[in-house]
Amino acid sequence: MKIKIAVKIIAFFAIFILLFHTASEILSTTDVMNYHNIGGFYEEPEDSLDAVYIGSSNCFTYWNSLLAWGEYGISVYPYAGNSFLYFASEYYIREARKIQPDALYIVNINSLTDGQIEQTSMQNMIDYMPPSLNKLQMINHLVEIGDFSMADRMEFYLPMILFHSRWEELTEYDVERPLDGRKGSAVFDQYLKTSTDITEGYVLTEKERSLSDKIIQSTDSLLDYCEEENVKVLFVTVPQAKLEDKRVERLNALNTYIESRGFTVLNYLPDPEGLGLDIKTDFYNTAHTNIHGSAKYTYHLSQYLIEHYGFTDKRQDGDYTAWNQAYDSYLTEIAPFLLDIELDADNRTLELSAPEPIAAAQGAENKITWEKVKGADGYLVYKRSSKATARVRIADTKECALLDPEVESGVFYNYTVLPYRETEQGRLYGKYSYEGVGLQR
Amino acid sequence: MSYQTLNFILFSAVVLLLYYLLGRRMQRMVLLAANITFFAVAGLEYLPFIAATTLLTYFAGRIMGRIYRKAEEKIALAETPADKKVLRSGAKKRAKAVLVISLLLVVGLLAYSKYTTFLLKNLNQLLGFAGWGKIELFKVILPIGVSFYTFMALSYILDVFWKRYKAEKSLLTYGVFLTYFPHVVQGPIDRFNEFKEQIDGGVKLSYVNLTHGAQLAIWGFFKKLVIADRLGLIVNAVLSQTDKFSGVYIALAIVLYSVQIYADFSGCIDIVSGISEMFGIRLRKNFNHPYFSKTMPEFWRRWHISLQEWFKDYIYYPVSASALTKAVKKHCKAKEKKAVGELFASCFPILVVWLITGIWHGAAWKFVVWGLFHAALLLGSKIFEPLFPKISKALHIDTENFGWRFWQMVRTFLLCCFGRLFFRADSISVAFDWIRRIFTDFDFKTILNFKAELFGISAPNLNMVVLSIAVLWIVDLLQERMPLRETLARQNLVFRWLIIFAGLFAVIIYGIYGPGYEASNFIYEQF
Repeated sequence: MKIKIAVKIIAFFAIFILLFHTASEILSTTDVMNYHNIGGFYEEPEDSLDAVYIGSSNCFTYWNSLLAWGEYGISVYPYAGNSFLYFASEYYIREARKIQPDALYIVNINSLTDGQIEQTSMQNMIDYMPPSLNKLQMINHLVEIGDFSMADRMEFYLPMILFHSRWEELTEYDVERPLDGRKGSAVFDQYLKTSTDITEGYVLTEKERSLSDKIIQSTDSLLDYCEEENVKVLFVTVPQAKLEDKRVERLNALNTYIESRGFTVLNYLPDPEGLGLDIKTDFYNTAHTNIHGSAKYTYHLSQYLIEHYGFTDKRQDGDYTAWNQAYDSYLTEIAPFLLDIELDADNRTLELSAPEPIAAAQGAENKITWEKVKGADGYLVYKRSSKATARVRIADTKECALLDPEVESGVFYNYTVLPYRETEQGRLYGKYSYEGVGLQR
Repeated sequence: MSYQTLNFILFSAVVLLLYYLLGRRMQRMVLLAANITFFAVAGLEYLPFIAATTLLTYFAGRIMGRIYRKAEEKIALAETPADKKVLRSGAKKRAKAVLVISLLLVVGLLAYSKYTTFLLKNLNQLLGFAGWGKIELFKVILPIGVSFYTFMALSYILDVFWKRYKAEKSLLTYGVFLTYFPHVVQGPIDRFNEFKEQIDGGVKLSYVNLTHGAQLAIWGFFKKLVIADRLGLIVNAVLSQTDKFSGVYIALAIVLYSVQIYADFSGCIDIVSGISEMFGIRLRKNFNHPYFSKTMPEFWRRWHISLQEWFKDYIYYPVSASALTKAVKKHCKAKEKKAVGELFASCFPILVVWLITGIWHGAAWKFVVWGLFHAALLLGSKIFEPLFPKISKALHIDTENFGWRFWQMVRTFLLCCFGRLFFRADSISVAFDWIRRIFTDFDFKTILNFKAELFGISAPNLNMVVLSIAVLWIVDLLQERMPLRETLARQNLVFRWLIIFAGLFAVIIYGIYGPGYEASNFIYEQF
């Protein structure tokens, strides 16, 4: 009798947990990038990734995993989310290593704070990570650092407290929630369409400030873990504008501290141009590159990874068919927002400024003119008839004017001009106007 | 730590685990520790109040017990009935002295914490009229559950005084009773002898207690979080800005408030009764589907039963048997107005009970008016009771058919709603303003333009209100006709669990709680 009751009680709680977990998943919010990045990571075959890129939105807006795959055949997945907290790095690595034990772990440290943790950051950290001991330990660690109240803590352990009221806005999507299969590559509007000049907000300083105990303890714990478990780890800081001086000084200090412990650090914060980034055009906001900047950063870092960690090209490997398929599909999505030359690495220079073309109707033709760019040997002219279609190359010319006879009345056309220089290593392409110039016939 | 919170559930779970794991001998210790923790979490400043009431009434009981015991010993040795009478009378007098002192102290504590501010405000008004300045108000601590545990303590010392049972020797047992965390904040107002019977000797772990208790608690959470707090959003939206609504909306809000307060209070009682049942301790029944009542006296036998019974046992009967009542009856009889004397004897106790009931609910004149309103209804009911059958007969009304009984229920409910106007309003003047609006600005057609957004909630939430009230009504109806939990226990496992999981997840998903909502405190918590 007692056994029967015990079995019933265990069965009851097992069903309850199962139903509760299912309901939690359906009711949880749908931060698109976080859901697909984190959820998609768990779909990757075991021990299949070259590297796992950990960090905040800086990761998936700078690093474009499919562009890296398309150009170099390396598999580097951003196990990253909006508002990721540096203090959670160790737990994210522990969690990711359950599936990718031998991967390189690239840790983006831009999200470092002195210990202040926003509740939304906490939610972003934990909402999409499946239940595990790592997750529990991560929450314990973060609530201590953030000094959260008991009520807040309960919301982290049981997110249902926060999300249950979403029942009234549920759709079929919430039940199915298919993963996008983009391997963490971004497609959101700002990333694809926006260009913001961040020159004014860019802070450069080499000063350092002392690190808080919370930072030191979390960092030591992370580094100790990596040493004990022989985890390959690389720390990265990416360029970012409008950071307060103290944040830059703190990042500098942390980089120095990590280096002093014998770990490799790539601090790109003071040197965006070294990455080939134009801070006038390659960002969609102060902290994130757009697709153009992202492509440059991705190629730069890919080369570094291949050179220093010996990553090999796996595009012909049958085990990675899904990556090839994802890349092909992704190209069609981003085609309207990139020029063909941007899909090749090592062909860009910042020394050729962007022409500002002018378009005018001239009889039955469109006339496009621009001023000569200093140092340019020629120009590629691109055209498109809608913002949703890819730009097509229509001319390779040494002149600063072009007549386009392929025009129809009542149609909108958009042109942009890309300057290039011939060198011994081949052509180097300069900057171009992402907006281009439009003309309605 | 309000009863509807996750913290309370976790707290109860831990206490329950320790309660059964540490064995029967330790159960009272576990409960006392839990009760003290519960109070300490609510506010350390409350502890001295309940400790004082506990110690005062415990020792008063002990002293009265000793007086009676010594008297009994002497009576056993007394030789003549006259001596015995003298001894009994002497003991009664000494016990009465102890009773009066302890009553004064315990009621004094209640009065101090609950009514000081009210009295000073009214006194200041009088002083203001006379131009004599005013007394500075000061902050008075109002301990949680003070009205409830004080009444439980009073019932104990009165019962001991009346020799209904013997004074408790164990301070631990008595302390556990008075501070018992499931009933200390909002009742039910339990009786010590019933409580003691259940915990003496310890409680054996019972599967039935656990499952039935949990089911009752889930139903309580449903009533509180799904119905009451969702209705609260609507009621507050209307009654906090009545100038934006016509009288029909105010009337509707009051009707919904009546459902809200029922779901809220009975929900709380179901939660605490369910949890207490898991500890093997059954609390007094507090509700018996009051909105199915056909008359006001019946309503008050079904609503807040433990309070009504308390008033009946400790106010109504003593006042009925008091020297004053007897003297008036005697005087009227002498003046050959026996009927008046009888009327006084039956009405005076009701008036006293309802005056105290009103004041017990809160230190405000609106509660006095509310109490007097119900006193008037009950007195009217009593006075005209003999006439009703005659009127029905004269008008050829079939009082046995469903339509008449349904009308009686609706009438009783509406009368109750009218009283709630005073209960819900911030003051008497606000209540009268609402009444004026209902009668002079009813404007029924405005309800035809009704939209959920008017109430500050979404359409799905409004649908949920309608659906959940329907569930409440059906469950109440079923409970009225059958012992629901026992009936459910006889069903097959799949059906049983389907119902339980449906209830559980209805609370988890559709409950009003979490950030942005802040599940509101129980309405009766403030009393």
